[in-house]
Amino acid sequence: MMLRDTVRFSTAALRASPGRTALILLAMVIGIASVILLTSLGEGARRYVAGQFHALGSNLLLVMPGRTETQGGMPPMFGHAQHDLTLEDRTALERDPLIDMAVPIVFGTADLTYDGRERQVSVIGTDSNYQHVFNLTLMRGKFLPATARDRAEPVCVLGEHLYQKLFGHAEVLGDWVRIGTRRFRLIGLLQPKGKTATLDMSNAVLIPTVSAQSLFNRSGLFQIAIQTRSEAFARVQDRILALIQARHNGEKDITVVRQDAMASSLDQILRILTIAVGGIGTISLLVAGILIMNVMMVSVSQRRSEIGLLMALGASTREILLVFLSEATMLSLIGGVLGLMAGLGAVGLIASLVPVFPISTPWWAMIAALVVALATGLIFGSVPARQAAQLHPVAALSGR
Amino acid sequence: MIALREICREYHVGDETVHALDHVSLDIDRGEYLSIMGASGSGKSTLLNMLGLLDMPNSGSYRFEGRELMTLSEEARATFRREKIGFIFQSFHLIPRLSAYGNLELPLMLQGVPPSQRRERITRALHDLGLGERMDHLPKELSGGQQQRVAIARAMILEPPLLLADEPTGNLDSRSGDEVTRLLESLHDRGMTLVIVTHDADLGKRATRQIRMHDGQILHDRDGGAG
Ligand SMILES: Nc1ncnc2c1ncn2[C@@H]1O[C@H](COP(=O)(O)OP(=O)(O)OP(=O)(O)O)[C@@H](O)[C@H]1O
Ligand SMILES: [Mg+2]
Repeated sequence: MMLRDTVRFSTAALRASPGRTALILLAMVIGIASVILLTSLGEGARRYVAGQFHALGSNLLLVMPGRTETQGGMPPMFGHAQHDLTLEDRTALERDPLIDMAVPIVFGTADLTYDGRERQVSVIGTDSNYQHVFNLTLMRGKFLPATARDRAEPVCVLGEHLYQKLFGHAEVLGDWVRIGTRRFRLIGLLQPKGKTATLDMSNAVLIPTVSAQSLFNRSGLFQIAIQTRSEAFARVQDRILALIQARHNGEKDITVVRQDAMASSLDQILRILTIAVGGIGTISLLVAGILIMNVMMVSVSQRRSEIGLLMALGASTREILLVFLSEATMLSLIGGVLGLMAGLGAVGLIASLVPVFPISTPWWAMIAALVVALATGLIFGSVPARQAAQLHPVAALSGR
Repeated sequence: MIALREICREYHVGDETVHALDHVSLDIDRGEYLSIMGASGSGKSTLLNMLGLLDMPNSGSYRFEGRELMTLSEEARATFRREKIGFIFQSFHLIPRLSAYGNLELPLMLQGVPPSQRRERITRALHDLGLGERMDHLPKELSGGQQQRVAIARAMILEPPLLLADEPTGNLDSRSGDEVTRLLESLHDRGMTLVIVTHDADLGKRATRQIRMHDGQILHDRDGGAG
């Protein structure tokens, strides 16, 4: 039998029992649509998180004192530093042509007092480049001035969240506040924004590097954030390591982490999560498959005399098999396409209802959905198809 | 044309063995009109199914036009049925969702006849049997006699050399039965080899050769009748 005829014959059979066909299609549609929807939600979550990370500034390498054996992992927790990272190290790094900016960071906590009110805050000692490297937006006032680069100027910039907590709606820009034992003039307010992997900006106060060093009585730096223009992160990473090693008497006592290495490991996790929820969605396809199998088994038993007739007319077992397989395949493919459309429709609906959530259907999920739909039809259709093909012609004709 | 030798067909029902065919030997020549009669359960249908290769014997030999069929593969048996045999059943076995045209198209589809040639052949076959007007009717829209004529047209459309009919008039009133009988006899007149299983003694006697079966054996086999 020609393929065209097989398809035509199967189509007629499917049309002849619309209820049964609709039931199977519905199951397929639900299965495929849920796979599409779940993976789209997963992908949306991934993009959302990626977007948050992107806002932090990419192309970022963090140089930290101490050494970890693993490359590109999380920052060292208990790494033992032989030498401090210093502002001189920063200056040396800045001279590297591949490095745009090297921003020193000193980190600590101190009490901020103003007008009798007191609150513990995160203190970040840094310089004016910090704003560019971490994509910070000023709400009001000025950022740390360039003149405070390596000087202990008594100025500070505050996170908006912290400002609200401390001062409410009072206008205090230009006033003096006390941080720890020293006084600083409040010169700028930062727009609220996400957290970096290490520092919570909304609850932080920024002061010049040297001010922070003397406030916390330490000579070293917490880390140096490097912004590079180069895409060859690994190369830049190696150059940093070599440069600092040379400056630290040959000791490999620093760790260089890509900020987006953290982002990408989170990205990886969300990608796997997306595949996982897609996999959960395929369970509903399993249900659809079992339904196909059962409904087709009933169909085969109801159509025994038809099968017997086809055999009497000279259809081989292979042709009988193909007739039923093509029925299952058509059901699953049509169901797959309808399910894809339903899924994409639901995704579009969510996209319009919740515009901030970047829901998006990964291309692989669409292909996978159709492939899985087809496979479902073939696998679960093959059982009843084989049953049909293996009927004895005489028994089939008599409807037994 | 046909030579059956020592054909046995047994069914095992529980502990019992039913000999549906018990060492049956039979020769049929080209152009013969043969009727098979006998009590219910005597093995008539089993014999007919054997002739059409719908069923395989437990032992014996079946030669068709000199070729031994017992050793054929399943695929080759299907081809044999398609090309050599036209089957007619008591219950017509038309596919209910297909029109008369669609039912007649089935053998052509299985034979791989190109779609362009089908319409003409189907139209001619239906016209020959006076069903030209009924081409697009579903089986349920046809009378029993018309349905059986469509079934006969379907059996004949690939022009097989042997026509096997199992009680072709069994579901019909006497008038439709007579029509179908006359139709089958006209096919015989045109040279078709015809084997009919029937309970109807009148129909049986019209055949040029009659066989009576009993308990899976051929009781007697004689020429005669009106033909
Ligand atoms: N599938 C089967 N399983 C068991 N026994 C069977 C089967 N098919 C046929 N038989 C037995 O084989 C014998 C011959 O059956 P067959 O159908 O050939 O009889 P028949 O002469 O055509 O009868 P009828 O006139 O009622 O159609 C019967 O005894 C029947 O019970
Ligand atoms: Mg019978």
